[in-house]
Amino acid sequence: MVDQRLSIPRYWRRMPQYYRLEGVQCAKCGRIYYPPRAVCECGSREFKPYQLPTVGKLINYTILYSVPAEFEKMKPLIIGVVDLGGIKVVGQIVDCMNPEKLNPGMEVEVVFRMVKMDGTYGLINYGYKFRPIENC
Amino acid sequence: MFRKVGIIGVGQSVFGVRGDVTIQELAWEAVKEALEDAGLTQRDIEISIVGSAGTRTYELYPAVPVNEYSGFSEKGPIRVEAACATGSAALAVAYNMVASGFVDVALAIGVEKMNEVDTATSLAVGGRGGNYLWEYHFYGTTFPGYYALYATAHMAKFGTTEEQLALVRVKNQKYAAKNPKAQFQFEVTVDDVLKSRPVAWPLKLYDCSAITDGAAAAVIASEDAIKNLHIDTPVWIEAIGYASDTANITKREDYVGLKATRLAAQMAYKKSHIEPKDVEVAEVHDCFTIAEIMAYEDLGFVEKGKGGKFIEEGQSDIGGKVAVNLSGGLLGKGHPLGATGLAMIYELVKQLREERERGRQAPLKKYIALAHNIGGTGHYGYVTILRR
Repeated sequence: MVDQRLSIPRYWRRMPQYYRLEGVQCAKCGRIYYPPRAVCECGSREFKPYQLPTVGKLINYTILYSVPAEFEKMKPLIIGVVDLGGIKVVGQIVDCMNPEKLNPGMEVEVVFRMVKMDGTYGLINYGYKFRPIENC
Repeated sequence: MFRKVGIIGVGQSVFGVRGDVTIQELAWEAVKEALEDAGLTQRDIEISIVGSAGTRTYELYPAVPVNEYSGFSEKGPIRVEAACATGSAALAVAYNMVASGFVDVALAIGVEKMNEVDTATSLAVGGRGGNYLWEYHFYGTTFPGYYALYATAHMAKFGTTEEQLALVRVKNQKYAAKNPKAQFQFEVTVDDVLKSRPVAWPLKLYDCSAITDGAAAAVIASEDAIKNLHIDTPVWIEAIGYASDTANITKREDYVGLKATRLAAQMAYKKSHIEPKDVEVAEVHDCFTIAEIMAYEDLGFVEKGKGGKFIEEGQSDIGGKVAVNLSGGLLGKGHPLGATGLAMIYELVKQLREERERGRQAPLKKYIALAHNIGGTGHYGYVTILRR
């Protein structure tokens, strides 16, 4: 009932965001949006691409033991909200053997990883994840 | 100028896994009780509003069958949806129709069948309560996960503990055990909660509300209609406050409270000229234990950051500053999305009329009650203030 795959073109269109964490910056007022949007709060429609920084701070996190079926093999799944230069991004936290050492405020960096297989014959999705900088 | 509006009849089905009834039969249990409570028949109702989130049922257009089965096939329905705040949205629509003079007597129905899909599907549906493409699709967010993000932020900033979270469930189960319509009629200890299996750390199974089928309904009427119908125990809707917040969790200002609660509460307090300290009994949105702790703070019962202490000191229990969730709350009573908001109204109307069972009737002096209903992870917020 809720199975919904991302079509290939739809996925491709988002590659700059999924692969490189590319947002947009308003050419007039400088506001940054991630995910991108078409009209700025100032009313301008002129944007240029903006690359988010690759190192940021963990704001909060959770360790998921009940996960959606397609993430079953990655259990437990650590999800966190990360502050990348003032822009907040949600994502998985990886390479963390000791989740009890996670702490809001700690530094994390962006890594590029496989995210999931979209169905049996579907696309392999890649994208950003986060890794604690200090051993964790 | 708005007219004064009162609640004259309330009903609620037994909450739980209700495979024994269809969605319309379930709704009728609540509607029948509400009509009998008001002493009215279908003929007296001018319009019905049907609230159902409808995300986990085979009846994808539930309002029409529900409406027809209850005997209102020529009177509406208007179907509303506001995720877990659907019941409050239904009440808000009905309230506005009466207050504005569009009708004199209206019925708000909230109903949900959530057990028609399996738990995995339910988890997947809940995880989409945000912005699908940017959250669930790529990273497997779940609904408990969203609230867990608030929990870890609250714990890190204010030192709130897992034991304090557990105390919310202990309190709510104490009252659910006495509520014959609750899904879970038993008591639990702090240890039971702490030792239940982890779902989304720091939230364990007993920190989470369950998947529930249920219905609730309220008959509301204008002051003139109440006089004409010779109703002697109306409960007045003093104000309804509403607010909403961003779809993406990443666009929130902070993770230690819900802005939708704060804004809706401010609106309701301002409209009613009632202050948080005047509220004697409240039903708050405890879909997770952390949600009740944040609600104490965001509703102004205690200052931000002190919610953990508030439950620890028993301030949210009978005998404290405000008696919270004497129905058992969403945790103990169950949380059928569309019904929840109206089930809060059901409980508070019964409380204000002092009709509750021994051991779970709030002591009242001012007869002021507050219902707080959240949709999604703070996506919708409704605060309703009632007075007898």
